[in-house]
Amino acid sequence: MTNNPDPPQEVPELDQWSIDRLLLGYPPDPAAGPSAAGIWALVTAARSPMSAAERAGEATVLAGFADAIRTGRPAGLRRAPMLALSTLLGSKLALAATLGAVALGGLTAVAYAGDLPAPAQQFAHDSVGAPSAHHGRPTPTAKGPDATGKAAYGLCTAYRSAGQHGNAKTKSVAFRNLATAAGGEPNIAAYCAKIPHPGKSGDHPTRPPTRPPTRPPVSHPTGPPSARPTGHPGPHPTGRPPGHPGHHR
Amino acid sequence: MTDAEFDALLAEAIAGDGGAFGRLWRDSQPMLLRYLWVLVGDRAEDLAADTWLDVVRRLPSFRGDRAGFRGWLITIGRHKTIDAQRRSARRPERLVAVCTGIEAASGQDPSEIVTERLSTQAALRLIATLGPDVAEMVALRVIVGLDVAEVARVVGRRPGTVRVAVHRGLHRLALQLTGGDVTPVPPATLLGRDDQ
Repeated sequence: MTNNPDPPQEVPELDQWSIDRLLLGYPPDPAAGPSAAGIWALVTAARSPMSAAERAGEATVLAGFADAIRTGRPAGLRRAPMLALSTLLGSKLALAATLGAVALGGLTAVAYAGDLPAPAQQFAHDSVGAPSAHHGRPTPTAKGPDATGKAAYGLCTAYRSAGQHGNAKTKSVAFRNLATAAGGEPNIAAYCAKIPHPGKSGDHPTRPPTRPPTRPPVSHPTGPPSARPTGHPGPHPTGRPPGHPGHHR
Repeated sequence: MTDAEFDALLAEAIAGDGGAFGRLWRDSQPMLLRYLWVLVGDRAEDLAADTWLDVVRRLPSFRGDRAGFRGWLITIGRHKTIDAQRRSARRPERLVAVCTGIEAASGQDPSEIVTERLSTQAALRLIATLGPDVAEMVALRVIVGLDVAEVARVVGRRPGTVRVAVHRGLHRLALQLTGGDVTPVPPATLLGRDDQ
């Protein structure tokens, strides 16, 4: 209203129902007055589309996601490789013994079966994508690698290697998983023949259909929030019909 | 994004599809980042990235729709913020907003903005001037779009407290935006603590 010549002007307080409507995304009535216009300006600005600057963090987060999918390791533990490296240096004798004992193909096979000492297992995990050593957390290794997921190629390589060397690794959890994925031990060779080399085409050529390759090994230390809203927020005005007559206090 | 689209993207993201996860990120990142900005200013970007990495880790355990996802995301971001502030040995029991200096830094007269298009950054600065408690509640209503009951759950206050605080906060901002008379209200006295 511009009738009042004296600044500051009187701005009547909006009623609760009008505020709720604006926050639900309904534009103010043209006769609603300056207060509604001000709040509407605030709402539209606060919910504007993402700017280029706001998108700057996308690469970091998507890399974290890809890393978590690739390694099956929680993305929140991004320092894990460094910790693994220091552990590795501390255990270099054990690693050297392992490296000396097996050729690379054999190492890969052992690694995929999850049978290396933890530091070496982590090294193999980081370098060839074998299952992680899991740093002594409550062990998910009883589950073994997901033979329907990204570990399939490695498991198949290990399976072939084990067959060539007459190795008895076929009793391991990993190979039982592979057999399960293949629909039985006799079908492993046929199953493996269909597994493409990872990284040749597409991001996740052997992506599992319904779940990530490896579940996070720990149950949530801080827990999902207990107060999870279940309503429908956001700029979609689905809550209240425009013609609501009453005040909402 | 419809709820059905969200459900499909969520399933694909949980299955490891980076493209689907990227779309979820683009859908919710603006409101997360802006909410965090009101709380912590320029540290918001780091906290948002940290929040999303936590989301990556916990995504397989999430159950809910798009609205539930946003509330979940916001709550994780809020906990990250509180943790960060505890680590920096500030007042550990509550969020500390960075309203100090924001008003001066904006260098803009809000009443001049309303006739043109209010920029997002100016809107966030304005909200942050309300003081930590009210600013957060207003941000959750205005930026994130949570309703009063949802805001009350996130911040651990009574719905009536949230409703009154948001109403008064918005009225104050409306006055600023329209060049009306604003009587500054110290945030500490605007709202009594009603936490149990």
